Amino acid sequence: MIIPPISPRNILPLSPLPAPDIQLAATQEIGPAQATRLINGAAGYFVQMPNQSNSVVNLLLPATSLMPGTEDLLLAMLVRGSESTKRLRNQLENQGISLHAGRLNEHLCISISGPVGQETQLSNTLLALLTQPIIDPASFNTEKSNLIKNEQGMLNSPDLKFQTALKQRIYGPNHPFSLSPSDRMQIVAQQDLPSLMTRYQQMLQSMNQAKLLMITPQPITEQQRIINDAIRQHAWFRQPYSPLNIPASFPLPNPVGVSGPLLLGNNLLNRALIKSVWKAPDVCDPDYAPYQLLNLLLRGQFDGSFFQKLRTQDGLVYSVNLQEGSKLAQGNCYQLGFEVDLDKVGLALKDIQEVTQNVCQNSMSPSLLNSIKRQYLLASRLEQQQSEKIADQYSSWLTYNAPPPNLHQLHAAIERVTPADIQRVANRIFNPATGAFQTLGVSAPAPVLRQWFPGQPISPI
Amino acid sequence: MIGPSTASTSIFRPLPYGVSAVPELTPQSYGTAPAAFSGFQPTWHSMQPMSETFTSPAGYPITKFTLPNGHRLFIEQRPTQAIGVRTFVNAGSIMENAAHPSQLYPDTGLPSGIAHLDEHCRFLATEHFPMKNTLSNTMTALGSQYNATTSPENIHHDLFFNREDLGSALKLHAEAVLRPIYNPADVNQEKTNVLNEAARAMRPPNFKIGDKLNELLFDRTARQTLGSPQDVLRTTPEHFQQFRNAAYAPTNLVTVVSGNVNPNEVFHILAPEFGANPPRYSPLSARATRLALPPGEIRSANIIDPQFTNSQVVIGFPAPPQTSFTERMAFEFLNEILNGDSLSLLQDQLANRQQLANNISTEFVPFKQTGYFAVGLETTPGREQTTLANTLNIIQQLSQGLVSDQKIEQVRERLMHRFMAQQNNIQVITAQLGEAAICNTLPYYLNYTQLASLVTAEDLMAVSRKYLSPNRFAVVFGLPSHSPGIGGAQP
Repeated sequence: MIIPPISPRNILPLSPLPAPDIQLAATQEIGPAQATRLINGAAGYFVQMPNQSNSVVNLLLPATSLMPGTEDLLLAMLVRGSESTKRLRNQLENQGISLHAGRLNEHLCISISGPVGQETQLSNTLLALLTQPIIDPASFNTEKSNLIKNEQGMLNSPDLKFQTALKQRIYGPNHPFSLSPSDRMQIVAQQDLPSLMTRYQQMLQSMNQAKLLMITPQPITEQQRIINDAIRQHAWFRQPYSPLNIPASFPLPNPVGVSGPLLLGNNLLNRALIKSVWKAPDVCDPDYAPYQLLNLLLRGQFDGSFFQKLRTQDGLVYSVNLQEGSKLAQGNCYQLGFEVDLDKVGLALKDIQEVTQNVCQNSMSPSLLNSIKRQYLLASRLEQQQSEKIADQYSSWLTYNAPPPNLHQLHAAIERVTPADIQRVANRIFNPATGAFQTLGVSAPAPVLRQWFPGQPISPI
Repeated sequence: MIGPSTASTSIFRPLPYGVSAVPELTPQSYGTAPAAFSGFQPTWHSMQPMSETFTSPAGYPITKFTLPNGHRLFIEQRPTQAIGVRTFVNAGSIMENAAHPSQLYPDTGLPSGIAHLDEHCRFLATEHFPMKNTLSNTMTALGSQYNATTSPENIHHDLFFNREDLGSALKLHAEAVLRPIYNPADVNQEKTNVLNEAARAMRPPNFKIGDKLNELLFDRTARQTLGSPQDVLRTTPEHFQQFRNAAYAPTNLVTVVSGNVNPNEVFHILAPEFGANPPRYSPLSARATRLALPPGEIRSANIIDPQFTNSQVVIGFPAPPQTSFTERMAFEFLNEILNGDSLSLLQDQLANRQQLANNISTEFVPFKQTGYFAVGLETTPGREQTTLANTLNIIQQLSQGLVSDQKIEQVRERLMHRFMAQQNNIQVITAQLGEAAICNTLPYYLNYTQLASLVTAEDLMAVSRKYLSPNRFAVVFGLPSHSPGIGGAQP
């Protein structure tokens, strides 16, 4: 056994272990998700995923419409608020168990993952944190104060100001997604512990809208047993609290954002920020498969259409930021973003228009489509390395009120996509006549905006 | 990742590391090759490569081949149909003339930014794909994902592809790494892309803080890798040839492959490619980041920016190099103890109890010959000095045995679990294995859990005393433009 020499500073005479005499097993693929109604009324989804070292349990609770602006404060209270909670998380981390919580579209997503074989502990811990939260006024005030400071630190960020203004244009000024850091600061400052927890308890009582996802190598029946046992041990809140009827989704004014570009003057910027947003098919839409391939066509690295035009051909940008993340059950929000020198705004806008027109007017070649299908296959294989990544993907689908995808069926649908399908979906997304929301936003110093958009109204920051 | 090629320059971004046993050379000694290299011609196929097999931390077999020219291949077999290949280069922006003049880094004749610009050019045109972008288009036609990253002390090129494309993908990867050509028109346009990248990276005010901290600690700015605009624009094809000759010598290269592959099949694809790279002496690869902060000295600077609303306090300490395994592992423990969770020392004391700071971050980055440990905190304007003083006070307690044995055991378990959880992903393991191989720190990677099991309270106290001194650090304050200045009690 020869290994690189060990530095004199290293006193440990370590060497690698001998090679194992093993035959690699054939790759085993992820099984389809199986759905059931759990004993507390929540929807349960179970997936058997072989060759994993970690199991995952995700719980999704509809929250945005019930407590807009306070989701982060609630999550902070649930997963890290009190001393006891911190100690519990500390113990979990020491066992290799990770707990994450955050906003996912209109839901709160609380996720726990840990070594295979510990599914019972994962489930019990997650439900204990949710149903018997350890809350005290002192830690509430600390979390509240920290959250306000965090929002305060972002007040002058040109990127956040631009993103907030754009969201207000897309979702409407009163939508929870449109809240600015200062809006959030004000909302959080008004919160007190009893009112926040009362709303949380009401939310837990609407369990028919909660979704639980488990992904592990364990058999499905075993997964179901573990979850139901955990629910029996950790009953949801009961009376005296009354269930609240939670709207499934905050209403979206649609279409919005078609009345000219959003121009946000900001003299702190020495480059121009450009974003363009379109409405795209969601995961339940029959056009979802061709849309996925269109997205790869546009966002790919060297051969991505926007990259080719804006960087390779015209040298206007370093990168193209394409976000395909949906924020809404009503439709994917397809967002393109990049920054350019102040004197190149016009060229960049022209290039964007050319790319979208081209993909609408011209059919792609079968060979190009084939390469994009291979990109899709690779991305899927890379994602299937870790149960946590699959759990993230499936949870997104659940927030769109869709069951987790059957990957075999999804791949078959991808294989069936034709160049004509791609062109049709491109026209659906980029052609404003369809009535979908389409918003162009530019943020730059006001004189620059006046130069490129003479006579158009400029919003102050 | 966004777009091909990323210059890793922020002090708050982990950097890949390189190491070499060759001592720093003076400028006069550049180009003086050892006699062993004179007249040597590569004939990889006429000689038997050295091979050996060992076990990866995840329990999969790794086969190592050393080609006669010195290029090393590591092939890990694991049951994934997505395959990863990365080639690491023991070279980086440290080989360039300093963008900010410094006695610590004698001129090498290579303009600043060339390592990064050269890495960009490897995707443009090559000997077998001389038309611009035909190589990258061919890689994309396979449905592969590829990128590259340049850091001060190393460069790496990566490619991920479907198992069905093994032969073509590996050859394309080698082509990009070894055979770039520099058509002036292509290069000129790529310079524009690099300048765009630099402008984008430097826009957030936090970049200025990291840049200044790097300068105070190492007399080398973080923007060195991106290069000065003047240097980028004046870079010539001759500069590229000079850099390529120095940086891409076979002994400076390590290639790692992971996935459901046959090691012999991979070897027979890659050996003719990488084995044809002529062996040569590469004195510049011995250059390394140097610590500029002398014992007993405290350096500070202010960055005022209207984009800040809260103040930033970023403290940088010297830290152990990559090859000091025990100290390096002890620092991983310290990092976790200080900022690993909401009960860690800095979080508990500064955020929860004193409510003095929020958004606390820490980072330990070891280089070839030195390293740094940075602590970043956000605080209310006017409380910067108090934040600094209290942070130093907490850190100083580490050298006095503040950490209990129980805490050490907990951190040990946590680090081991975290490391093992990372070993499920070919993107991560090709990066970790390749980085360890190019830095000559394979034992650290392969025996990570064994090293972690040996750390003691005495180790933690010893490294705290050695590196985290309240009398030897750099601090950068990021202040809002309305700030009255640095406030609070002096440390």
